[in-house]
Order: sequence, then structure tokens, then C-alpha cells
Amino acid sequence: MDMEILNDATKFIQLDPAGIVFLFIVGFIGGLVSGFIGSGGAFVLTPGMMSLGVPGTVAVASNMCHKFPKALVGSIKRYRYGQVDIKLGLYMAAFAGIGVQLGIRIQNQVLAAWGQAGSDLYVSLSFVAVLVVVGGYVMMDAMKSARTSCATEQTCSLALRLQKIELWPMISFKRANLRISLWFLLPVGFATGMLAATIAVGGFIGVPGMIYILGASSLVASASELVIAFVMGLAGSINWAMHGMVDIRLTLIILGGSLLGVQLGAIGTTFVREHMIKVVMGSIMLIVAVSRGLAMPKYLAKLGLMEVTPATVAVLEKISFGFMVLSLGVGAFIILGSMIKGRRALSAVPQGQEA
Amino acid sequence: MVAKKRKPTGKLIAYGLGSCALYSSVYYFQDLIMEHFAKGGLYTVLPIATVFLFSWIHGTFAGTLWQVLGIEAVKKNPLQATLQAPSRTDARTRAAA
Repeated sequence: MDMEILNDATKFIQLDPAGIVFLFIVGFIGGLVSGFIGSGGAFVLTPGMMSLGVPGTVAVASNMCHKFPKALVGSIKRYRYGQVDIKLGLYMAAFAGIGVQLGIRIQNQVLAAWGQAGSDLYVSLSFVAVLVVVGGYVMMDAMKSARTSCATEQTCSLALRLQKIELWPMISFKRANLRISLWFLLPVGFATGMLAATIAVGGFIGVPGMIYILGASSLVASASELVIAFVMGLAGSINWAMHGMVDIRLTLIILGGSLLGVQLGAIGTTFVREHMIKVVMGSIMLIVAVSRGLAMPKYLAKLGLMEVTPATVAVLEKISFGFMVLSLGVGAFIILGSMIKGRRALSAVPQGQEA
Repeated sequence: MVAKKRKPTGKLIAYGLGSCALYSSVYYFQDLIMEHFAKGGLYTVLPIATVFLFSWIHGTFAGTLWQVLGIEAVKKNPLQATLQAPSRTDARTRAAA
């Protein structure tokens, strides 16, 4: 992104009460979803800030600067519940860091070759492809898990087969209770970083990757994703802050809501059936895929690949944004609904409470 | 019968006041803050340190709020099996005894 063109006068917006309330609420819901599935919120917050008039780079930077403290608080909470495998999170973060660098280089090459419209189209295509394929798979698996009578999540057979392959170096992860070759871990972490650099949400590959390729449970995968988000978010934020792109007011307003939401989401993971994490993740991914699909005609038209009137583009943009907001709303609705249901089911059974 | 635990209302009020104080400061001094926090270079430490501070104070307030409202995590959930993947058979070759 071209940061030199932004000067101090236009970089930072005047905040009004409606904007503050909007960011707080979206921050809360984004935090709730992150606390539950390990990722999410960024894809609504960044366009949300831009709809308030915040320049793109400032929106991305300010969002990232809220993401790492939110992930820190969420991961500490979920660590206390015994869900975080720090070693797994750190290994994934290390490989994701490499993936981010490659993702940025590819983005720059696409931008140089096809301009801003081409770059936006590439981002949207990536969004749609990953979200439909991965989101669809996660959703189908969630529906299958819901139908089984046992409460235990079954480790995917692919992961079990990969774990059996003795390819040096083999790494053991105690909390996740898995032992797998580094060569299977590397591409999952790498892909997480690449996706983060492209669509700003690496967890949509990271969490399913940890579940289906490495064999971690949904709880451990979504919790450990928060470690990845913290490490990558901190590194990215330092980078953005060094370029003076962080609007700390926006970051703190969003953080105000998200620190409430992330802890509620984390608490929620302890009283629902494990497959709910997949249900929420799959739902959000599929709805966001629709949103990004609706945004594509605009970029196709700019590149001369499709005939669309400006009026149609304007309408599609509004509907696309609406679907994005809907995805978070649906996610929050399912999380809160399953939490209420889970609590009712548990109140019929005596159990220990957290100190 | 389980004894009722005392809710940490004092802690909630203390951290709540702290959080209000922090946010009010940002609101009232926003021009000064924006002038310095976006300078880049070594000034990077300002926004990063600020978010850590807010995470501590506001984060603790938020966690305590859920506790006082009675929304707490469950230690052993019979609806969930273990957090870990099922046990694996160790197929590694062994040295001759």
C-alpha cells in the first residue's frame, strides 16, 4: 500500500458519537467471535472503519493494533481453561511469519501488474475460493459431528494418517496431544500467514488446518490460534506504528468492546459442545464468501472484464457490506444461543465452577 | 451444599474507575496524543505501551464484570470430552531388547 501519499491532515478523522458507538459494538461482537473460534472480526472492522472515512492503511493498522492485545487477553483466559497449546501456537506463528512475507510480495506483484482493481479482484477471489472450499468443508463436518451421539469430537482420519508418518523431525505437542512431522506443520503455518497477508484473517486456514491436518481438537485449535494472532498482530502493529499509521483512538474504542467480547467468547467455549466452534466458523465463512462474491463485479468492471453500471455497483457494495455485518451478527447469535443452551443443560448436572 | 462465593465487586469498581480514567484521558488529550503517537520511529513505543496498559486495566475490568454478573467458565463439562485428541498407537520401531 502506498503510505507516502497520506499526509497528517487527512490521515485521522474527526470522531463522532455514532462512529464511537458503532466501533465499540462491532469491536464487542468481533471480540466475542474471536474468543470463541480464535479468529474473526478483522474483515468487518477494517471496512467498517473505512465506511467512517478512515483511509485504508490507517484502518488496517489501527485494527491490527487492537487485535494483538485482544488475542493476548483471550489466550490467557483460554490457557487457564487448559485449551491453549503454546508450543503449537508459537511454531505456527513462526511459519506464518514467513508466509506473510511471501503473501505481501505476491500482493505487490499483482498490484504492479494489474493495478489497484486487479489487486482488489485477487483479494476477493482468494477470499471466495478459501471461504467456500474450507468453510463448506468445516460446515459439513460440523453437521456430521452434530449428528453423532457421542460428545467426543473425532480426530479426522487424514490427521491420524499424517501423524503416523515418521518424517524427521517429529514434534510432540503436549496440550494438543499430538505428534507430527514438522513437514506437515510447516505448510499449515505458512498458509495461515499467506492468507493473513492477503485477506487479513489467517485463522480461516489456521484453525481448520490444525484440526483436519494436524489433528488438534476444535477447542485447542481455536485457542492456540489466539497465540498466533498475538505474535503476528504484535509484529505487524510495530511495523505499522513505526510508519505512524495507527489511530490509537480507533484502536482503543474497538478494544473497549472487544476485551469484553473476547472474554465472554472464551468463557462460552467451556459450556458448549465442541462442534459448535465448527458451526460458527463454517457459518461465518460461508456468509462472508457471499459478501466478497458480491463485491467482485465492481473489480471485474474496472478491469473491463464485465459490463456493470455504477448504480448497480453501488447497490452491490451496500449489499456486500450488509452480508459482512450479517456474518458477524449470525456468528454472535449462534455463540450466545449455544451458550444459553449449554448453561441450561449444565445446570441440570452438578459440576465445578471456575474460581 | 456449596458455600456462595463473594463477588469481587470492590475489584470491579476499582478497575472500572481506572478504565474510565484512562478513556477520559484519551478523550480530553486526544489532540496531544495524536500529535505524538503517530510520529513513527521511536515514538512507536507509545501506542504499543498504551494498548498493553489498557489491556491490563480494561481487560481486568471486563473479566471481573462477567464474574460479578455470574457468567463464569465451567471446569469439567460433561458435554465435552477431553480437550485432547484421542490416544494414538505408537507405531515407532523399537530397538531390539
